[in-house]
Amino acid sequence: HAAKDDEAVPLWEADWEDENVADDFPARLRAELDQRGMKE
Amino acid sequence: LETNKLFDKAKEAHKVTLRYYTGRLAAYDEDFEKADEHLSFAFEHCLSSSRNNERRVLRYLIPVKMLLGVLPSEALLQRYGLTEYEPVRRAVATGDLALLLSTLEANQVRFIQAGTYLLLERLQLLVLRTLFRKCAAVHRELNPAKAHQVPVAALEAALRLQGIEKDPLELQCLLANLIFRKYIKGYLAYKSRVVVLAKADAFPQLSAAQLQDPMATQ
Repeated sequence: HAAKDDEAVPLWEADWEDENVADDFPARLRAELDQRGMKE
Repeated sequence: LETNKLFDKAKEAHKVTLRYYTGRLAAYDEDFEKADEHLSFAFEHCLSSSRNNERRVLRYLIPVKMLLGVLPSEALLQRYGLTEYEPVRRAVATGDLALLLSTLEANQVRFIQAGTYLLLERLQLLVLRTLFRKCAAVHRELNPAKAHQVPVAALEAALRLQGIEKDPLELQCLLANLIFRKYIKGYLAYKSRVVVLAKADAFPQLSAAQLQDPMATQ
């Protein structure tokens, strides 16, 4: 099981939710909501 | 002695096959934890020399794990050449419903033939949860005083940015479903079209989510 037992490379990721992914979506969404007057 | 060894090997191989099919059956029955247990066993005990068998197991194990909130690493997908799962992984990680839907469509025949289409389709709710979580974060920045009251319109706007138009009632139904299955803690105020989030732990760990229909008889 050499490949599977290679612990240097994780096969599964359980804590991906708080991962900081480079993602411009929040910024686009912020602009969109701002524009729609969803800021009070 | 040699014969005994051969027997042991044969038994081991049968065990792996049995666990593979038991796992698939459990996935059809929507018992994803049981499916995970059997398929993980099959994957771990599958001979590393039989790459094809490993791939067969992974084709089921990956969607099952994703439904349980665990993503395959990019290294895993590359190592086994399961590139069709790369956009699915990205869609789940980033809350990109458009990407999930277009991937399902582009690979429809392949996923149906592999028997994984229905499992992958179920990821929609998970993707919506991630997207709504993003909406809640942006809404909190814009309206700190009303951080816990996230308008349904915010999710509508987010989906529109992805090029998806959803019927407002369908969207409310999906949100109710997310709350019902404990993907989100809170309640939906129908008249004001606002999701009122729980003050603490509004987006619980995915492992706590209820994948099976809580109303279904066991």
